[in-house]
Amino acid sequence: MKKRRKANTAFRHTGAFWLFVLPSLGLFALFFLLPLVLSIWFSFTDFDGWKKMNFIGLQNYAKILTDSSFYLSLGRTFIYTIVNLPFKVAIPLLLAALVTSKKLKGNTAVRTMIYIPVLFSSLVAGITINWMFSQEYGLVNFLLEKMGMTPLEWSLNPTLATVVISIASNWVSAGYYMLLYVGGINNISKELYEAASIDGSGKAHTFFHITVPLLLPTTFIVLLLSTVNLLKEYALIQGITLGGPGTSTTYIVQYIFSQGFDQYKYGYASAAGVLVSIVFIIIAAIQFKMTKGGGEV
Amino acid sequence: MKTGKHIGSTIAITVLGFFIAFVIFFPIIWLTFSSFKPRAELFAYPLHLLPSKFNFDYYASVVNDGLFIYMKNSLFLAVVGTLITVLISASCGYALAIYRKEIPYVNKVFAVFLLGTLIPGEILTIAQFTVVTDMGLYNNIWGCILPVVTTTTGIFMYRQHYMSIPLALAESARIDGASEFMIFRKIMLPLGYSVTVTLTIFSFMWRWNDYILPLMLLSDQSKFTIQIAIKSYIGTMAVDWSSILAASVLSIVPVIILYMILQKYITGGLAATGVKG
Amino acid sequence: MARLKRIAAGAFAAVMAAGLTACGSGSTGAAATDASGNVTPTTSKAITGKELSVMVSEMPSDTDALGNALSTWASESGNTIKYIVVSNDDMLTKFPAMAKNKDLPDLISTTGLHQLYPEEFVKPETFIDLSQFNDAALRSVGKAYASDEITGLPDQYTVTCMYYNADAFEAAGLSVPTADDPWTWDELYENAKTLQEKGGVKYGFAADVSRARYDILMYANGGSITEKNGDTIKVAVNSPQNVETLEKFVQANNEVMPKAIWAGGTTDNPVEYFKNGDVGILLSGSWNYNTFTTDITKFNFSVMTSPKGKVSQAAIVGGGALAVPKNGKQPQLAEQFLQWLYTKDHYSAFLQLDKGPSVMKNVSYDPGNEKATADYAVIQNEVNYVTDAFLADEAAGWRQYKDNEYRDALKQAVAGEVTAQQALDGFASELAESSKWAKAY
Repeated sequence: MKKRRKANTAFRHTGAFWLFVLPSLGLFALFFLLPLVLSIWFSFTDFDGWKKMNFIGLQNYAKILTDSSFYLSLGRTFIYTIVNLPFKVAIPLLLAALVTSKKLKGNTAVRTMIYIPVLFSSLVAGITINWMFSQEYGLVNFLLEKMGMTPLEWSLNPTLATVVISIASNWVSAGYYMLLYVGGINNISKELYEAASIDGSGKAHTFFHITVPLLLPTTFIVLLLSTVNLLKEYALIQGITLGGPGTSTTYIVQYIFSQGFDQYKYGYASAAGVLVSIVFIIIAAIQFKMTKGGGEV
Repeated sequence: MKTGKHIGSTIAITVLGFFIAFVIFFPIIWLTFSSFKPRAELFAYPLHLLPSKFNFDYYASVVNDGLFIYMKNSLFLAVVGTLITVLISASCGYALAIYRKEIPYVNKVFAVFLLGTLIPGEILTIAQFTVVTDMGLYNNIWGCILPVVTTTTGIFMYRQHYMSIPLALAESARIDGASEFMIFRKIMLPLGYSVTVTLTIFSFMWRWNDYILPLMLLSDQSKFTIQIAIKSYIGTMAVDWSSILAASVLSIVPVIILYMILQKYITGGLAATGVKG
Repeated sequence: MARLKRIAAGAFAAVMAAGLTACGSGSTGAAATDASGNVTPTTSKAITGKELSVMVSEMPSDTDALGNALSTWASESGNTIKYIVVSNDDMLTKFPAMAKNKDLPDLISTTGLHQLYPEEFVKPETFIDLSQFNDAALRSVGKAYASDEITGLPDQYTVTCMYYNADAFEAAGLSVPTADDPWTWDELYENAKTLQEKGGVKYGFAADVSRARYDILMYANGGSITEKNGDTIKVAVNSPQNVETLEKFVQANNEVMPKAIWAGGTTDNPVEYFKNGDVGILLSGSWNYNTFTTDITKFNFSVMTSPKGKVSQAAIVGGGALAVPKNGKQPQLAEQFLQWLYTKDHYSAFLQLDKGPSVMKNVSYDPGNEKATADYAVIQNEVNYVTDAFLADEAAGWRQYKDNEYRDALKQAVAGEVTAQQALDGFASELAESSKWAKAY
């Protein structure tokens, strides 16, 4: 009797597992995996999005792999990602520490103000950032001028243009990751903090020796998500620098669009997309391994 | 003495908090005030924060252009999309977490979903469009909803959350004779409400800001969404900044309201749920 | 806390219920949509009581030339209008999507779809007499890129022209050039410097970031994108004179122009700079004139004749066309509207609002006041400077192969990432590769 029940249970759980997963998996297969397979097929053709679709073998791949601007934009993407990663983690973490502090009065208002930029579409976020950093009529340059300083060439200097994109990117994501950290901090038990304060541990000490290590799982998620999102940065750039000056903010997805989709070269774009996806998957796999899959801590 | 120090640091932290929040929020104040400026004042140097007089003309004109209809469409897309996303992500994330010890291939299934974040979605748009139209969902709002409701982030969030809940909780319910579905529905789903609230905000915002798929799929003007409407003020030859600003400001109001309603539940004593990892 | 949990649980029950209801109503809606779709009978008689669907890039206002024409026609003919507003950029995505789903509008106001996909549109010669149109307008706006077929009818016609800030000219002591005695481009750059120094403007000269602006410098110096010898076309974009033109332009960007615009690190529009009084001379399209008269209040502006290059003056014409998709539901209805629009009276009324150059031979626009009449004469005169080289380049249809790359190459040169020679050589190779034309240089 007991034995039979055990066998049934195992079966029941496999069934239950698939039932729970099925809605997501089904939709995912239909609207993501199937298009993915289609795109891989497109990548071996000269598909123009509508009328033309001939099999051309590896021509698209050969062309991309000999295109120096492909490597240049990929390189720029990596630099942009690496430089921005520390900010993507540190700023939200500090903001979360701030808004969960008992000593912050009116923390709802503070939290809301920090979070609101996250709610913006890339289109509106781009417009807003432009309004601040436009070289000619932007508020920042106006204030610099008012204070007797030289206005900065936000759209002419490649470094400054990258700075503007980075500010924009952090501006729209800081609140998002902050929220993940707030969840993490709230999960840390109060007793731990009480114990720490009884031990006479200082605030900074508690933060770095208790809060930060315990937030490691959250940090892994933030790292993973922001790496991928930085590598994929596109819509925001379209609203701010359009990849310029010259090509200095043209990152890899931008490359795929300007060399592919924008010219109806869907085959070429798909091939570039496949290559880029492979690179992204490798990067994420390494990161995933290093952080043990978001940590079963 | 101690109280004095306490008050001092409270004031310091509060001032710091509001200062940072103000810096982050200021661009939005600037955008909002600009939207009330008469067209000629928009780029007029020297810049002024406040418009010379509050001008509602552009608001009236974008509303006249049907902005509320587009907002209503976006609202449907966002609400329905979010409901589905929350439900399917919760059940999926739950299953990936709770059966991870007893079913060997669970993590492989999870890895499949991870593909979803790694591949830039923009690249798949054309292929997605092909699939959606082949299903007969052209010019149908469901064609904009179904392809995007599966979100790896959502599944990930629930999975992480349920992994922090001891398996013993489910086991003891099983001993009490609860079915797997009942365990999920009655015990686990309520326990996941912190994730639910967060994901609701995220998902609502994603759907509200969706652009390319609705653009390609919807062909009746009356079915258009808010983002398509805003974009249509950017002509090839001229950009109607005043209308864009007004439409942008109006477009963010619903998401802000939703956030304000839900945000207190994000704070609400998560630590008091009684179970921890 | 228990209360919160209950609320959350309750919310879920509601969520599920709502989700199910929504699913139900959704599928019913889909069926209803599929059921519609009526066939219009083909008759040569005037059609009435129908709805004309028109895709436009901006929601037409009452003072919009096309919007006004459509609503007048609708009320006269007893039909109604349904607009689909999609921005010009997005039309390129939207149009194939609509075509694949047999969901094309009856009429499209477009800046290029009919040139890109000529086989998708009704040839206007089948329903209208093309000889009444200005030939340059018809060929530059209405013709397909890759063939000689006319596939759209020009409505908004625009020509490159030089706007200037009259107050700045006065302050700098500059006199305005005339058609009989135009400046050279070198003089323009010199005078732009003077404007910056004495005219109270930040930038002496500015130009829209579009090859349709830059190219007038090239054509004025005797350059071209392609060269035709008999039936063979060669890529000539990297000719020595073109390299020199670009070098000068790069230099001008460093000295007298808002460099960020052409270096390409901004979404700003130089037209706004001009409106704001920060630019002395603006190279832009004639269609701006209309908005300038209402938007510019701080200073006086006017239009002057374009400068001469090494060879001649030059202008580029372009604009928007009205095109009838072949596979639309009721092409006859759209044709009926076009036949109505391109009659003397109706098109005159259209021009009164459009305030642009005319596309019809026997119709012209009467601005009604002295200054505008004088400006309009200058603009209309620019049309005469359209060069043969421009028309030959358009006929070659190079833009179907590479368009954005050309502008991007120019941008890279202005940004200083590459030299003028490298930029044009690079683009010439790209164009040669995709067009299969040989390079001439």
